[in-house]
Amino acid sequence: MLGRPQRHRVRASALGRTFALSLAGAAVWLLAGPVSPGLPAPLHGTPMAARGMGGMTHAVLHAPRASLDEITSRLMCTCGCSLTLAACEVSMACSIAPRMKAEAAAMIEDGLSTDEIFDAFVADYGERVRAAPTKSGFNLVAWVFPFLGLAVGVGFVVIALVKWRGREGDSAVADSVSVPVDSKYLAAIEDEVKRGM
Amino acid sequence: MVAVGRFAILLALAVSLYGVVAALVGVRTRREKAVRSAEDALRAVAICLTVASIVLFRALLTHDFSLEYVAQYSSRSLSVFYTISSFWAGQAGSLMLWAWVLALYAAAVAHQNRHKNRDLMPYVAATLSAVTLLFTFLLAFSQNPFASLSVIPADGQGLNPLLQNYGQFFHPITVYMGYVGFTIPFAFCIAALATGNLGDAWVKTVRKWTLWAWLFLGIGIVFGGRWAYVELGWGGYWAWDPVENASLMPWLVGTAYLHSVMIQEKKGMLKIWNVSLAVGAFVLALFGTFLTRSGIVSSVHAFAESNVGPYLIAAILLVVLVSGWLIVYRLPELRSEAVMESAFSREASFLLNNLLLVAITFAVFWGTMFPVIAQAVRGVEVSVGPPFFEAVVGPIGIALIALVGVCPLLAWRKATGRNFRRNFRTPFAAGVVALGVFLVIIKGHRGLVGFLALSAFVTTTILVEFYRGAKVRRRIRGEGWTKALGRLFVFSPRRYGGYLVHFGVILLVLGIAIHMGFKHETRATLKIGETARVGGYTLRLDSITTSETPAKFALVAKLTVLDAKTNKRIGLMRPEKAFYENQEQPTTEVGIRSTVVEDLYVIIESADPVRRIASFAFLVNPAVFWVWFGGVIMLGGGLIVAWPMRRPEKEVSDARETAAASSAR
Repeated sequence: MLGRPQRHRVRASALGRTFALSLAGAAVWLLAGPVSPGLPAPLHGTPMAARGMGGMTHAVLHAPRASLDEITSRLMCTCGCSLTLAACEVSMACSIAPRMKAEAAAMIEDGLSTDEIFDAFVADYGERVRAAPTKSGFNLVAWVFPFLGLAVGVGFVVIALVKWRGREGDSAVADSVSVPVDSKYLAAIEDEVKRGM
Repeated sequence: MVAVGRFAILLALAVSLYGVVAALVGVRTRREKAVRSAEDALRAVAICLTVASIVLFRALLTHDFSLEYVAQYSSRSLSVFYTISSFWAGQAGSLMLWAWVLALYAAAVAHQNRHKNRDLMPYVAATLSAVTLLFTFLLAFSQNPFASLSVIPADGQGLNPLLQNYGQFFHPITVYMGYVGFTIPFAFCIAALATGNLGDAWVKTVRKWTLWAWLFLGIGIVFGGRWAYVELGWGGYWAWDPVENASLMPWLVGTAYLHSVMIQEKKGMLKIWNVSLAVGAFVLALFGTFLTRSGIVSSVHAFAESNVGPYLIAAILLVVLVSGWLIVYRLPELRSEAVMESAFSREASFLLNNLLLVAITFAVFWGTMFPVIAQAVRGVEVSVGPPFFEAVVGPIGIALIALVGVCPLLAWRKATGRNFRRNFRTPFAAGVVALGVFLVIIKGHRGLVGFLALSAFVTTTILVEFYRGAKVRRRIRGEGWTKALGRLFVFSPRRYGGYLVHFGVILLVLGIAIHMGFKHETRATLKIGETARVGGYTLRLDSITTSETPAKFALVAKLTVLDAKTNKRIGLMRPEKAFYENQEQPTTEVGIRSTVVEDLYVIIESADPVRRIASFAFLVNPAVFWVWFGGVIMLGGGLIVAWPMRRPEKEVSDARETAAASSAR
């Protein structure tokens, strides 16, 4: 079994790193492309009069966007679409979503906090208007169970690994695939393949 | 002709029942003739349902409005393309498609296994016949597509305009080919459990079937997402809608199975887990069918409420009970033949990957069903929407993606710290560089920056794997880089196709993450000649015109897209609002200008051609192209893995050694 010359290995390794880093750089460039132009830009829509929302139009356009975005993405539209206000407004021909959004914007203008706005909507439309269950009472079950399930799964895996380790000495099954491969073995493969060619 | 269709369904039902009985008689009496007869029954059912389907196609194309289904989902003005696709637009037709695809698959299985797996085939035939029995029963007694009307209308109601999209042609077919495909691994799994032949035979037989089912379901999901994106009214490409979730769950479990079955093939381990996943994927496919049709949860994608729900839930319970009992009965024989030597090995990382995939499936299931549970327990209606799924599935999904990067760095059996560190160095450096670069470029959005860095790490891991594989091939065979890279897919399709799937997933999730983080919208009302500034674009309203066809009346806005900086014309968009015959609500056709950087998405909200004024919602959706491109790469990788290829024995062993050598370095 012959080891590969040291010089060759160093060169290959350096080449590998350079190659991988170039690709990483390319990936960075590629990924950076879509991000920059997509950064939130100021809104420059021509002022409008006829949005069909009466006095609420002004509120919608000038409400602090971050809060309004947060609220519309955490409230469900009540038109029966099973979508959030934000999703319904841009993906359905819905007349209810803009109205609800305008209500939320008006509340923001009135200085209500996020929680107060949610409470006001729940009072009007019921608990189903929240896009996610609250983290209290029975609703907590919704949030806890998936992670509890994951924890139980992790427990099973740990137990299985411990049991397998206990049985390690008994195992008589040969592993057909996982052979320890090192550079010497690789050199042998190369020789063998070359001889066969 | 309609009578022929009705008779064909009843005959398929009777023959399916016969198939179950004949197969079980074959098992009991050990008579091969009975088993062969049960397999012939599978072929006969396929013929019956093909005849029934041809009759329905004919009824649709000849506008036979004496049939309720034809009158409800087609009309004289509907194009041939959409008339054909109205076959599966309604409850009865889509159940017919389910049954037909299953019958064709079952006949293919009977043909494929006429000389092999003879010990398994009685149970396979019995299981497949039992499933076709369920669906032909539903067609015969609950949702008959050949039900007649007492008064024949002059014209049909037509196809819902939202279904008049090319997606209606491809999405249902591919989703059903996926859903139904999971029946085959399930049937073989039941056969293996029933016979006690729990070795590799059933696993090897169903590997390609599972792959194709996974692939078709994946294609269906991506097609569905694209359709929901380009057609206003479906809630965007992914809205965590119950029906969307229903399609995702079997796909996730199928993904877990495709990974864990490798451990069984290589080491004879995880047998209990694999049979559970095979059963789980089928149960979830049935559950998806149930969820879409029962009316138990509200969804924009669901069919009208019908009485098929109780039958399907009974079938699901029966499958769970029988499979569960068989698994418990065979537990001693399902014990692993080998042990996992280290928690720090590729096998262990596969186990963890399975755990995370199943945890995501459970989270999706739990979130989808929680409104029903809350209603039952508290009597209060609650909603579980995107904020819940993003908060719960998000962290588990990120862990899974990190594992996609770590997994190839670990050696089989037992990784050493030194080996891992050496493999880890380059991808980790790429991740750190990406983190630094994105921290400078992107202000705020720290979560997204972290995810971009993670993606760079995982992508580099995958690229390094390709580089290593190609390097070994170059040295061994003297091939050029391009040829060596190409040959990796030919000689190790499973490994490198798999990496391509991982790369596609990364691109897809990245596209979604960037889109979610940076999408923005502007609304404006414009008179002809006025402009609106939207991100880097200026949009000028040029005209509002009307168009009329026998099927619809439409208001079409013509907008010129200009580069906001240079004022140079870069495109033209024509969003429209259409008013279809027999439809109360107008539909909106969006205008989309798509580039690799971002999509400009224009929705016409209202238009008045007399006053020459129109209101618009303008959306800038960054990186959406990468969602579709990632999907295509992912499915292309899946296709490479699933594609049947025959290779000379020497090449196979060479490829195995090449792969082993490159992975160990």
